[in-house]
Amino acid sequence: MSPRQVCEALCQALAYENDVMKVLVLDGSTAEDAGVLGVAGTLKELLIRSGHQLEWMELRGMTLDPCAGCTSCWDRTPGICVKEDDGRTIGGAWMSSDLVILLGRITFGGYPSLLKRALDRQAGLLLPYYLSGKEGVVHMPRYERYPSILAIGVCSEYSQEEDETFKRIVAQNGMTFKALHTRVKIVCAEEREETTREIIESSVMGMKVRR
Amino acid sequence: MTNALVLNGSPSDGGASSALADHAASYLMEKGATVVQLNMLAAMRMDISGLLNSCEAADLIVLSFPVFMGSLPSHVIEWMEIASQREGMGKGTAFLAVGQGAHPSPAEVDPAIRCLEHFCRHIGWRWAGGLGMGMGLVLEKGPLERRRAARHTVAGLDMALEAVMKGEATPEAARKRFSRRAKTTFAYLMFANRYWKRRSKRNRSHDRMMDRPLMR
Repeated sequence: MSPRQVCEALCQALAYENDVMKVLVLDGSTAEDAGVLGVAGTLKELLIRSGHQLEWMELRGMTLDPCAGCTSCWDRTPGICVKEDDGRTIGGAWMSSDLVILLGRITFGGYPSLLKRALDRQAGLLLPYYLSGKEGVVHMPRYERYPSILAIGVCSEYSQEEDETFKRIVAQNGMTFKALHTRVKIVCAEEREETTREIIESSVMGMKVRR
Repeated sequence: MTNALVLNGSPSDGGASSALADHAASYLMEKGATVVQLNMLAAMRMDISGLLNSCEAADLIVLSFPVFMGSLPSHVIEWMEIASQREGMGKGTAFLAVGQGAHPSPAEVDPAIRCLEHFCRHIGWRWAGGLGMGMGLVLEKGPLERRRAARHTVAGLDMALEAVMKGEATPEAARKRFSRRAKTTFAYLMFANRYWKRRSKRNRSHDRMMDRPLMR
């Protein structure tokens, strides 16, 4: 490790210990999914203990229609979805947080439908226009700053192909949503609780956030 | 005779995914297949078990879908979740995925196609291949056959459908042809940005396009 890397790691650890982050958790678990609920419980406990300002959104209890693909949030009511439901609430919470944690079961290599529904509804956080930069072609940002993204995917058993697809999707979302730092963690639902705790703790701890 | 089910995975009709689904349905009918064409979201809302019965009765399913936020739209994932729970779905039905995204690169569609491939493996359907293209905005409005910008898309889709009807996998040539860029990236960016400006003017929102309503 170079001195610079040591310094960066130290700064991150100190930032985690001393500063209070605003954390938004989009919990895409279903009531029957004991595996994800277990991970959700561990995550909640860790975040509360660390003293971060936590906003936990259980998507299964929210009124959330699928995106209609009408593009009104781009060209009719810029920045705001025309559907008057919890999709708007999520957008507001997203923009006022430092870190967004996406939690759900890996479903055929992607997000579960509930979590994806919440994400699809956030297109208005971006502008429709494209911009060609060093990261390739991306949507122009609507806002100056966006939160970092940590995706925690829960699986029944590790599948290299599905995990790779999941990582690609999250990386793409990180770029789309202009996250300063994007990270993916895959947790097996059968894992022992201590192992899950270690995985989650290390992943939250290393997140860089822009304030 | 092939029983084909053509699904439009876009929530709305009249866009690029819808145009691709229309073309696939008319091609299959021309070749003698019995075709049922549905909008997936509308069918799910109306009668989800009816939709699953149609899937079960089909020998070939063609799903045309748009890419939302780098992967499949949420209602398509919901359909996959429900279908995978149902008994008796996996009887080797051939499945062809046809995806398009507004991003200039066809690579944006890849993860969504991979998800559908994983789904087919899980449910026991025969993966007939996936076609993905970028620059989907060039397909908006009107039938594809009349659009010069869509000629490679149409040719690629026809090649894939022909192979799938013979029980073969989608040839690599079809995938390449389908994903061939209609414009250079620079020309497409100009086109896409003008497209949004025109739409905002039409909707009288052009002076509010840069608004930041959720600014903290």
